[in-house]
Amino acid sequence: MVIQENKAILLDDGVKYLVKKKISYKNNNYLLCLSLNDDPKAALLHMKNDNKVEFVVDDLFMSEVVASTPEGKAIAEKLLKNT
Amino acid sequence: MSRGKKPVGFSEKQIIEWAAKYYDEVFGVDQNPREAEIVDANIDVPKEEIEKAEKTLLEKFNFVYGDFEKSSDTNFHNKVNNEDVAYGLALKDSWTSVGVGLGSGMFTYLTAAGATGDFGLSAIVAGLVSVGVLAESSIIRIWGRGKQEKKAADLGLTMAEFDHLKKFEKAMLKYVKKNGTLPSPDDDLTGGHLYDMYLQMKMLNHKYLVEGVPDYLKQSKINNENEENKGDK
Repeated sequence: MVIQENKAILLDDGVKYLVKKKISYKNNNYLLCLSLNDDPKAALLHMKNDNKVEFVVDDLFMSEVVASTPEGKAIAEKLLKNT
Repeated sequence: MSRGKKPVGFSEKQIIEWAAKYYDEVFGVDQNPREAEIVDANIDVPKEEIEKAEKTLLEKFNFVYGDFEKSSDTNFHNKVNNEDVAYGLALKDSWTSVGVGLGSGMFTYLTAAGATGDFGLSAIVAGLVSVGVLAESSIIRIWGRGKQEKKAADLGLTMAEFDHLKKFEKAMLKYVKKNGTLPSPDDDLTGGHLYDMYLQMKMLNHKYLVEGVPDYLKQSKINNENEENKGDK
């Protein structure tokens, strides 16, 4: 399915996410979304396949942990290895 | 300058420990990211519903929507065209909260800082650029200035340490703009601060060290020289 910007997707958790921006990076597709519920959050989703997403970032604006993928860990390790 | 002079400020070990600690806080990793199925897609959303969600978000976190400072040639990172700033939220009056910026076709970057002077996290972001994770042109500065004390406290730094970090960036900018090249760790133009800056950049595999100084900064060197020549006349 082709996801369109400025339209919402409904996830199986019952929450609608407005797709603000589609992003392609290294042959992967990401969606920057705004959840449309009582506790709106900005989230970054990785499209795993046509109908499955992974929350790369669950809540962009939490003050602490924001990244959540093995790739992120690899990045951290690579950065720190350079020390 | 003499090589034997003791650098002012942090030791290399301190800088590494600080950056590692802060990196972990900001870019911490969850090994089990949540997955979800898309049940429906391309759903039309009433404008009112979008506005309500954005308003709630703004009120909840005191966000400034799209309030980014556009890049200038004084930006430590890179120039950004208006169209690169596709979407952004930044915290107002807070330095450590996370903002997101998107460049056209670029990857998202996450940062907790980025304003001039906030070198530490800027460097982390620049480090991400340097390892090819982020597209450099997606780097923009988040305009989320808060009280200096809060910034320092959020970083776990004393004000003296925080001031020191700010001097790093200013000194580096000044040097790069004037000379079009990176300073040597031996340079002592600011009483030794550049030494610490250099270590920090080295630690983060800063893109300047990997790829060289960007052309636009070299260009600014030419501009500076022109201005100086005018002044001489």
